[in-house]
Amino acid sequence: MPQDEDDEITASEITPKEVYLNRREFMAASAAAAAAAAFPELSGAESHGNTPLKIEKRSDYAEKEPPTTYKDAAGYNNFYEFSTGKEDVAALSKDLRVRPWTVSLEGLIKKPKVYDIDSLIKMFPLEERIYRMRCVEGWSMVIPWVGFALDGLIKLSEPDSKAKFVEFTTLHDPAQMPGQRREVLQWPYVEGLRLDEALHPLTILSMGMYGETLPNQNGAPLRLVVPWKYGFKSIKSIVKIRLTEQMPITSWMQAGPSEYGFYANVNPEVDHPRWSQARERRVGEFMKRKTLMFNGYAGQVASLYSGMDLRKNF
Amino acid sequence: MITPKKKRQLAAGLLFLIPCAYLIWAGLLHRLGADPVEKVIHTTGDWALRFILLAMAARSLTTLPVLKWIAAFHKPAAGAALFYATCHFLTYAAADQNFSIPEIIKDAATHTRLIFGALAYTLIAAAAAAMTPMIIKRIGFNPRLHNAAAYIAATCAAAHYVWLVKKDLRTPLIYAAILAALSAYRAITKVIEVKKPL
Repeated sequence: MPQDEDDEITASEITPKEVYLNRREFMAASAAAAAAAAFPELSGAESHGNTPLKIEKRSDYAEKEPPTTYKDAAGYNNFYEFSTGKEDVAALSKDLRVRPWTVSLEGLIKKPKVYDIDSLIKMFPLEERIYRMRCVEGWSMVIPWVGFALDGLIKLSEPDSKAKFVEFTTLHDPAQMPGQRREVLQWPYVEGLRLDEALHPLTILSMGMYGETLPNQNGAPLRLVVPWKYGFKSIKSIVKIRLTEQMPITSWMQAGPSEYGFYANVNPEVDHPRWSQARERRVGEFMKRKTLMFNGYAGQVASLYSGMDLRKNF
Repeated sequence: MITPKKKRQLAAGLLFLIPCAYLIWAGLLHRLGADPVEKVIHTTGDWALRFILLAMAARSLTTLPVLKWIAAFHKPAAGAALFYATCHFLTYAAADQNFSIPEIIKDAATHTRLIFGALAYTLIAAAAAAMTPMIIKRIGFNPRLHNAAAYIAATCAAAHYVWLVKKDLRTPLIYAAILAALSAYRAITKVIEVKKPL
């Protein structure tokens, strides 16, 4: 077939801006992935099939303990929106659509705004934070999260003086999240922090782990990570962040008020009514080890709770 | 000489070891997932409960003419229940409590769930021991006591399971339902038996 003789290019042939921008990102990502593949010892990361993220700073908050293998961290997940099992979440969540995605910042703030996930990710430099993660069930992991401290975003929204708490909400979409078709918990999943906990420098919004974007089963595209609290506080796939005056009623408080409190700080002295919290099994190990007060972050966070009865405020 | 019943029992005994063989095979190949210890504790616990229920069914359902043959499963199932319950307890004692008896006692004393587990285990062991020729020879076999032990053991084991689950009670409730059905069947057949001579 002969080529077009005139030099005019039809509008449909021009690559749309989003596409070529994406392509640039894709090329940058491919270059990073290629570099990582060529010099794994330099980047310290191997690809797990998610998009690599540009990390500005790395901090280890797990006393040099090696991270849990990616396979275990991405293959053993509590995410009741998909299943109450832990090993089937990865398969059940693989088709979750994480683009387009918006996160609404609302409530008692002067600058409410609906953020597009891609612009939100670019608002602050990304950091890698290696944290211990302790599940309320008695197992734990060490995970290199990628994200940024939540306080920057909250301060930018200019909280009202009346704001005392932050309420987080997960996506509610039973068509995509089969676990939501049954009322195991009250949907959507809701979690909450006291405002000073949310502003604490250890509290992060995470969009990645192991140097790449989050796999769906770990809470893509955006989750909370609060390392001194039991894992269920670190809410996944967030669509809404709302500042409130009243303490939010979280999904687990609703499900079992005598078993799951608002604070849910890791505390080896305060047992779950049905099992001990004194010890935990680090995934990958045989024996259980002692659980640390505030999951080992007491030095940084204990002052948030001075004078509080932690047995009552469990 | 091996009677057909003995043959059936031997075959059943070997069959009942398949879950154990699977755990060993998967363990050696690192196919037990992120927390293999928990997988072993939970799987052996599941099978202990399943075999108690099977042992009970093998005793009570033989009154149905079509199910007479399952009577042969009673002893192997009871033995398997004891075997899996022992593995269940030993894995917990070793990996979770480092074989520390004071720690185990402390754990049980503060959590009712574990008292039910311990009670279930003791009763399974007693019920299984009561079927050994040595005990039968010395003190005879008391079927009513034996059945009572089995029913209480199963109830305790089911409660021990229900109390483990965080929120999704579907699986433990299936076991509870089977137990309830077996109990109801037993109660009905008892009533019929009592009424017959009248």
